[in-house]
Amino acid sequence: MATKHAKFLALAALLAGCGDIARDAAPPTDRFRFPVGLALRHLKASCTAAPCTCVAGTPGCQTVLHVVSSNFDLTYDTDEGGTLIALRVPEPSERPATLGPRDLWDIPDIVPYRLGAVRIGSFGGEVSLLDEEHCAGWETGAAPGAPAAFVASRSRDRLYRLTLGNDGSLGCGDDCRTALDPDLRDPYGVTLACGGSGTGFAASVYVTYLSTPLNVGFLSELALKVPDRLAAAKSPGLQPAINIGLDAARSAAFEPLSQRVFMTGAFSGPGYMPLRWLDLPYPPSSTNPPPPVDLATRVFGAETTGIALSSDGTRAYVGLRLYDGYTAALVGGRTPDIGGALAVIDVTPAPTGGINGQLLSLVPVGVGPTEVRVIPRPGLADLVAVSCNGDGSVWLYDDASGLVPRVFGIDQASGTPLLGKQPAGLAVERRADGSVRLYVGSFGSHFVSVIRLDDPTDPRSAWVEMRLGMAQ
Amino acid sequence: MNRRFLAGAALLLAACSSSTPQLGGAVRRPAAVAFFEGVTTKLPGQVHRYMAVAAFGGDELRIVDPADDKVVVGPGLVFPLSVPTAPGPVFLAAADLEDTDAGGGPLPGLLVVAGQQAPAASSSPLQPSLRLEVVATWQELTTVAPALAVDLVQELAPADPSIGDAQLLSLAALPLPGQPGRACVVAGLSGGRLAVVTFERDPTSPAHALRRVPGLPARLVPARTVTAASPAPGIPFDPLDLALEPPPPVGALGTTRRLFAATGEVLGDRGGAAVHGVAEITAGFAPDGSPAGWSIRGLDALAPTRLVAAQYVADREPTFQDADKLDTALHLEVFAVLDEAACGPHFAIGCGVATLVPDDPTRNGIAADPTGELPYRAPIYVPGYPLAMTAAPPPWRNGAGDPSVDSKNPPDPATGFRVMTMGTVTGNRDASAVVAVASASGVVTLLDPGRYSAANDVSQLRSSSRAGVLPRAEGGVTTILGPATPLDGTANTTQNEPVLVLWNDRQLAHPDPVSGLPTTHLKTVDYTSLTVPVPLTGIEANITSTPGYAQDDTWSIRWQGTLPGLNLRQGVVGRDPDGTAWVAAQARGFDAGGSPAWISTLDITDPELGVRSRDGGPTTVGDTVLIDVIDTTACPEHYDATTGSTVLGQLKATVVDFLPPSPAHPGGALKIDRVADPAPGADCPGAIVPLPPAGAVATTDAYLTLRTSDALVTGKGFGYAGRARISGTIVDVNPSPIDNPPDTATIVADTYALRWEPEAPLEAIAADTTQPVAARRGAAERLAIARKARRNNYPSDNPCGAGIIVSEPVCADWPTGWNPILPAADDRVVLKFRLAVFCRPNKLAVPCTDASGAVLPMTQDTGFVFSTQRGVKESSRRAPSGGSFPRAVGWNDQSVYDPTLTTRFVACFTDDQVVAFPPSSLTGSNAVNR
Repeated sequence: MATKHAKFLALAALLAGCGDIARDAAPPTDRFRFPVGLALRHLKASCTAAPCTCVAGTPGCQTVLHVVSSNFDLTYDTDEGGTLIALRVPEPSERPATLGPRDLWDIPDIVPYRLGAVRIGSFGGEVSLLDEEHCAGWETGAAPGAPAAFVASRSRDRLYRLTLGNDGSLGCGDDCRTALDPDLRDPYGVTLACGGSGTGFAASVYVTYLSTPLNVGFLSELALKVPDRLAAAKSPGLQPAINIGLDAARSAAFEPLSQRVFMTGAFSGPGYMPLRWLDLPYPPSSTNPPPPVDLATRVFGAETTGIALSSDGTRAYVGLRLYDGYTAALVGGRTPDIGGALAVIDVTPAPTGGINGQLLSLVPVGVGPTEVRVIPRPGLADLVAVSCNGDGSVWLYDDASGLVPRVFGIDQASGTPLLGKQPAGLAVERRADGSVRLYVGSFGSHFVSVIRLDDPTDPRSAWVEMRLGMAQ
Repeated sequence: MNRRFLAGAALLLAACSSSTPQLGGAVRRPAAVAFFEGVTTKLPGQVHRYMAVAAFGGDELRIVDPADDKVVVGPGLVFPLSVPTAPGPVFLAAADLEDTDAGGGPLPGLLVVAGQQAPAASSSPLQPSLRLEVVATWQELTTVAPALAVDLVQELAPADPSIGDAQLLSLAALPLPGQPGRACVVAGLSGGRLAVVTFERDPTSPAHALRRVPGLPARLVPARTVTAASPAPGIPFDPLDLALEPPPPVGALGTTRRLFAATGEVLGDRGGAAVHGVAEITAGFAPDGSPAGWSIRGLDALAPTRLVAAQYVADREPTFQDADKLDTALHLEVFAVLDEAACGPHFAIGCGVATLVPDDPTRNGIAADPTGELPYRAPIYVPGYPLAMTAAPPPWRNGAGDPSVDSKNPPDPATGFRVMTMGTVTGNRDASAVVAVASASGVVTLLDPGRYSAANDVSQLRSSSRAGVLPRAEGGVTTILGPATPLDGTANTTQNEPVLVLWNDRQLAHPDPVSGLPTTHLKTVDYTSLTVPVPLTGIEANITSTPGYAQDDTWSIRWQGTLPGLNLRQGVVGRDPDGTAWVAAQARGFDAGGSPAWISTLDITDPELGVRSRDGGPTTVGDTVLIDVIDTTACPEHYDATTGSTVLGQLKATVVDFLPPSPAHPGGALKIDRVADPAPGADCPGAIVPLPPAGAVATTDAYLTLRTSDALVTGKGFGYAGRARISGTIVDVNPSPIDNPPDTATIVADTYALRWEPEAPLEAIAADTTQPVAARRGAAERLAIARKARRNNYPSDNPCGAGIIVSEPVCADWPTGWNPILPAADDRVVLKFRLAVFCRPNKLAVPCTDASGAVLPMTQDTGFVFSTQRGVKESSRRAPSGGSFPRAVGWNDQSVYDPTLTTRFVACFTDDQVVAFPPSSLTGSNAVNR
């Protein structure tokens, strides 16, 4: 018995010691740690005069991948133990000759490709980039602004505005940290909304929160450029939080034609699953949130997660984490995931305002749908990528055929997920030759996979082109 | 010791299984179910009917004996038998080969399993494949038979080199008609393909095993139909779901068998017209078992379809006087879930389950409306997003012990008519067939196709669940809008205004509480006393909302109300060089070339919105545009004492015409009668939009609100429901003594009715460019309303009171003998009422007339709010606990085990549950396997 006691105490001491070691360690910048948000930028090599953006795959254009590491296990500094790392993604022309046509190109050491890295708060979320590529007019308008990356930190309830250099470098100046509303917790989604021209040009970043008082959802707007006609009523900077009604918002997506920001929700009971939107042309009202489309009338026991909008702006693709709604109602809390689905929703403007809101299709996908991205195909309905962190799969849904032509799941040889454990962040790159690269971040394996679609109209031919980062 | 422990555990398990229907057979993410004849270790050497469940998450099949709901165990006798399959099985199909052994006993059947994802040799392990696996149903230790696996890509590549692009969409199995001992699998593939693989009994096998027909590879049948515009080879369609024609109730099977395929593609019907709906596939076979002479035609469902099922059905007796009694004539009906992307109020048909009648030569697919009103039978609404559907007949062995047999619906051997009991909260009912629809709301909804509706758990005519206007006393929303209670004469105010009131035209079940006589006065005015407040009860007696048409909604009737969706819309006020002023809902954006351009946020001229103009619309009084001008120099802000806030300057204008789209207003515009408010004290002293230079357009940003010029009717869910005309003005000059009738009354018979009207003529007028614009707009507006006002269900309650069924109780809102499925034409309404203006002095004797005796204008938004309900709660079943996201549903005739048992449905839920229930049971007889 005494021996057992001693072992227990030693183990406890060891565990306690482990905890102490980690608290203020600087996060690594040579690897990803629990990557979450991904974003892409394309820069002309050796460019000095803005704008330096270019089309992926054209000569001299380099792809810069931005990866948010979240320090999810708090191994590193609890305050700013996360990172945003920018790295150049090798072009297919650099592919080693020793590799077969479809062999995996494994690049565990990202340092030779790293262009910049900055520390950010732990528990980072989505990342949005603001430059000429993502917001036409931002660098070339009447009052050009500097490119920036926006990412929220859940540990410090901050929004980071990081400067982006034309060489791919990253910086965090004195004013790069914006404190968000202290009453709101867990900022996660970051969505850029931009449009207009001349004096009407406007750009804002919208932040969603996973935790809010009384589960009333809020959205924060960081106004970057206010159109002249609203200048008297609104100044650039953080605006008062916008009440969006019951249920916190997880993610958002901007639709430029209708000037709407669509938002998914969190969990507020199985009987309510709102898809909400904000009409940007209207002054937001904190007392009169826009009425949602309640998807719970069609799907009982689901929680919305990632969202993407179709290329023509008429459909929303929303990830649904399915759970046992009846038991959840009985126990008054969320029950574990039992499956996943992708909801296709008609978001065309309704004549009476709002959206039509019809659930057009419900496509079973893997467990725990996380992020959703659209792969545009000229002349054809979109291909939709869904990452599922519950079973380690990534699904491609073809909205032209209504089918799932490709699933990346478990590697039959190794028994491990082909794209790493808990795939989460997604980014899409359309290239000049018509091919597409889909970037998938593995939250649990700490690397980023690149799926190649040589012909996006034939998604079954998709293959894993490369892996960036060290599996941990 | 171990032996004792095992024995104890076995006893414990046995005790558990005897006291609970839970079977203990783990099933991970069940996705498909099928019933088959086979041999297992449970009943060695005996062919028995089992249930196979495909476990998507476990990559295996589980076998259950439906006779006792026990899972077939594996060789270890402890754990359930696992039949490993290729990864992710989602399709199961089974067929009887319709042969017997030498003693006339049954033989093992065909059971095929397939997945949407199966292993392949590329970098991704879950690449789709077209691989079918056959389960060795003739082996006691059930496994898939590797030798019978079918690689469709390999076998079909010679005939179709692009077969590798295809995906498996649906699967069915059927016995070869006229060829006992043979059955085939039909696989619906993307790209307009049907693959057929034929199996037969191996005559050399003592175990009666199956084999492929020697020398007969898989065959491809093009899934195509022809139209007049697209002759052979026709138009390909993707078979999204397949349903097999059930055996006829009487008589022998023919030499062909039909399959029905749901599809989203265009189909050619028997006349060569392009339709959307279900493909009817007539399958024939050559003597060698190969498909031969297949023909395909489209059945018109008026919309694309996703799911399909088929069954023989007997409808209600033709007089509709007794909803319990069924006709004994059976006919084949095909049920199809309509594609939600192409049904609803903006399309030719509402959403739900459509009924098709392939054997009715007078119909092109969709069944006729039994009441003769709509040009088709209204689809049956199903709550939630449908994921799977099946249709089941009554038990074949309809023995004396079957509780479904009653005096009204005895079996008819001549037609094969028989019934089964379907339980609802309100009682049991005989059904000639039951359709089960599993939906994402976690329930399986039961439809009673013989009564054209879902089984209803509430009374549609009686009690507080009844269809119609929901009384305030029973939880309904009832509010009177407008001046503070002027009607009761108690308002101590120096102002007085007339109000809107409702005529009591119905005079049905709401007699005067004092006299007991039918009320003849305006119901909202209590002439007999001056009680406070104005009675809010009784509105339901003034408004007709008929079962079958009533909707779950909250309605408002408002004098000069704001049109739905047209409150504070962002827009602009514009002025053309000729001085024409207009408003449009638009924002600044870019065109396709990146140049600055107006982007329409709303086609403000869309007739569905209901805007009416002075010069061009169906009325002579144009609606009012309230323009909140953003340019504060033209329209100064001011303080609004009513709201206590500072508001933008506001301009009122009248809509005088509609302007077509142009570069200045790409979504069209409303021509207005002014650009400045000349009224005294106006907020916009000058022209807010200057005259632009020649060839240009000037604009001012604004927020637009559209108010009607008359009484507006809207539903919270329905949206714009048209205008109600005032059918009388009643002036009570002297309130004391109380007059009844009042002193003066101007009565105009004009009843507002929100009803469906034939859509085709309205469509024709709206699309006819030779028609006057006003006529086209009027037709388009009526069409938009008519589509929303379609009948949404067929009540199956018996007539009120002592109709043909003497024992039926009376109805709250309808007279004796009133038959809910056959209301008078005038009563086929979502809403019907008659409005009047009522004017009387208030308590301080302040009149609501001016010095000349004319009635003062009413305040905007004076009116009513009330709610209606459909009176339908679709009867459904779900798992006793949990039960989410059902992926599959099937049925089994349990009378094969015991003549006293009935048909039973089985639903597979994603949370690892398989639930079986007879339609007669609400909750009590569920068997759960998880």
